[in-house]
Amino acid sequence: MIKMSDLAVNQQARVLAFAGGDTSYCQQLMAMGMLPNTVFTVLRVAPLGDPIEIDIRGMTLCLRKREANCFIIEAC
Amino acid sequence: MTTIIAALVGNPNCGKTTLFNALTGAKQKVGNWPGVTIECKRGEFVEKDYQVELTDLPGTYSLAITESGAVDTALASHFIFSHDIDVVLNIVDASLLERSLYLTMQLLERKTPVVVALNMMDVARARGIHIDVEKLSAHLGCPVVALEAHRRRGLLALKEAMVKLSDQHDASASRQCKPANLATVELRSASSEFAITDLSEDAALAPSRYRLIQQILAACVEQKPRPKVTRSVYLDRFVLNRLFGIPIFLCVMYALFACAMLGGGVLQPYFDSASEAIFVGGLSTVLSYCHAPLWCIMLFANGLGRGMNTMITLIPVIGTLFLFLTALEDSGYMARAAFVVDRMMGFLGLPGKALIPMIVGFGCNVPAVMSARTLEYERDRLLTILMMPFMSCSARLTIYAIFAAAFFRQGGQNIIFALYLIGIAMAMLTGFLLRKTYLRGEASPLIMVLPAYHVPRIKTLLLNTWQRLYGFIFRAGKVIVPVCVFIEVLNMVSIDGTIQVAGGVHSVLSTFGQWITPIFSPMGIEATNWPATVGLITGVLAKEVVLGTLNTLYAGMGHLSYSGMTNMLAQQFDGAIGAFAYLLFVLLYFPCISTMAAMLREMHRGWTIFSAVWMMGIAYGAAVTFYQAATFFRHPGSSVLWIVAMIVVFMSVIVAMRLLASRQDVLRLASKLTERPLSLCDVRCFKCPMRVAGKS
Repeated sequence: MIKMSDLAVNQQARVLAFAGGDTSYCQQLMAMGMLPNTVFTVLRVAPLGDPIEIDIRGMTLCLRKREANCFIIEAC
Repeated sequence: MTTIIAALVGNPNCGKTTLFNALTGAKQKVGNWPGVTIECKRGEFVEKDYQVELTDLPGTYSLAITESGAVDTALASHFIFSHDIDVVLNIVDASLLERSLYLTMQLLERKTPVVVALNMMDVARARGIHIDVEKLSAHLGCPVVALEAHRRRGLLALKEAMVKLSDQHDASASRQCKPANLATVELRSASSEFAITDLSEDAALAPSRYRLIQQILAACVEQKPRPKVTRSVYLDRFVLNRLFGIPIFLCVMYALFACAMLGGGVLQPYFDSASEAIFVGGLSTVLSYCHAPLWCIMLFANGLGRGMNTMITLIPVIGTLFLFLTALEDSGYMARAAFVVDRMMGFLGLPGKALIPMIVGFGCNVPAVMSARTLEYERDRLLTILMMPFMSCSARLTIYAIFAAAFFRQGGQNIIFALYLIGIAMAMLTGFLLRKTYLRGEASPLIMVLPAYHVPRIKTLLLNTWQRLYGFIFRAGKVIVPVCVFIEVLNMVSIDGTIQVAGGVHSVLSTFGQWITPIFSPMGIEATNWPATVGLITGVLAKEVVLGTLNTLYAGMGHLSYSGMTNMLAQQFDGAIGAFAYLLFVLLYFPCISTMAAMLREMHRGWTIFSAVWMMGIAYGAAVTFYQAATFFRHPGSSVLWIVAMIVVFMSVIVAMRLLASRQDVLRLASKLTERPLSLCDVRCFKCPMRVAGKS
């Protein structure tokens, strides 16, 4: 199992589940398509290393690593 | 003519504002939603025999209310589901159809009468996406209109569809728009009249909604292999590059600042002299020509006129700054800037977006306070606005410059730079303390979508700038003008009741200044230097007024031969140390009245008062501590006493804040346990402004 903060640029990963954390945050992301079994790609990391931009369902999304760690993901 | 109540809802950055402007033109009313500082825009247009009143709702991705979620989602949800709205106009980004249709699903599940406006058809086409509009309409079971809002294509069809739908909606109790193929409808009975409250229930529906969307898209959308690199992606490779990202950000901020200050600076003198000529000079000439009594001339020309003058002088700066800010926002760079600096602002417990108002603050605090609105969460907004006035604005710079010329012939620039740094340090201290007490918590979670770049549209820029200026002139003006009148009147009435127009040595204000000067003696202002105190009072109008007052009063005191401002200053202040203490005070004390007025518009009154009192305290503490420490060897005993006293007061204020804040926490917790979730309670209080205006 890997964490969101471990992902490198251009790496692909699959969302498996949510590991608690801020539920309203997770729900908001679910509404934007961050659902179990969805595959996403890391597009870029911000200059200072923190927010990352991912491509999910052909749409982009910027997330902070620490907050996005509430998703359980697997590399693929 | 029948009135149709309509609401415009959609994701952020899908061209909602463009469509709203295109539909309603300049006939808009901008205000706040009751109780919150979220913009509420209303506009109207006429189609056939119907007058359509359209409310622009805040952009949102979902209508599910979450407890700690942003208040604008809650607002949109409540507005749509708990008022009888005739038509909901759901604007959808055709190039990002999958995500956009999620909101449409939520609307259709509730059997809301929806017209889907398929915007950005041109962008979708360029990306090789072909959408069968009629099929999509059949699958969704609601009218779908293809649109290119920025080219005004498809507007007529859209208006027709809206009117037609509301007709049908009126005619039959059971709505015509029945979701035909929506399997999800069975999943939930659309019985609840209020906004979606059960979080898990709504979230549990997300996978099935997306499955359904994918089915619909498979039937109606043809995706040609898309070109590898769009223009936005190409640009982002540079703009968000790990090496160039920050330098580009700094360049853009510098350009924003330079352009706005230059533009504003060039226009400002004209606005100043023109408004002074009309409202002060002109008015007093007219009034004296009409043989009006002196008090009347004084009240209207010198009081009211001066107030107008103060306000009008700020228009060029605010206007140009907002013009550039809107351009940055509209072009799509603003979100990127937030992405680039997010980590840095994370140390202050704020999102990246908060940096832009702070930078604007160095130009003028007023637009900076106003631009804090771009932050979605109340806590971030409060924190940003409370830290902002410590950013040394350009009006304060004019004071530093004169004092530097008088006291710091060598190294004046270092002194000025130090003042700027002290301002930033105090802002950080304030932010830190507030985060440890009243505004506890982390920066709000970041969920951001970088919009595609596009060239800003002139109409959007002008309209938005005008709306900001309108808000400033007609709302903030209500605070600025009366305060100006009050201070000017005090400045002109002598204690014996006679009136002097020049604001002389014997005015009520001067007497009051002399009376309170001893308060400032610990920071080096002697009793004979009472004009410095009066300057601080008039400086509340606008910080640069300090200089004008000092000039007038020193000249009026008479026992000084007139030999230029700098010499007078050098004689009156306690050398470089006294001058620096005074400058420290000027930097940190009470924000000018225009900033206060803007703050009153953006925050609760309590917070505005807190800010003013807090800044006064910080200013006094810093100036006294500095002066006493710097003159320690002249009077060690009293210096130690003063410094210790300042530290003790500061510490006890912090302890008091902590205690009060934790008490407040307990209360908040108690209310959470006994009542419904806070966010929902708040939302239920929102009135539908349209109903009040439209049908009563």
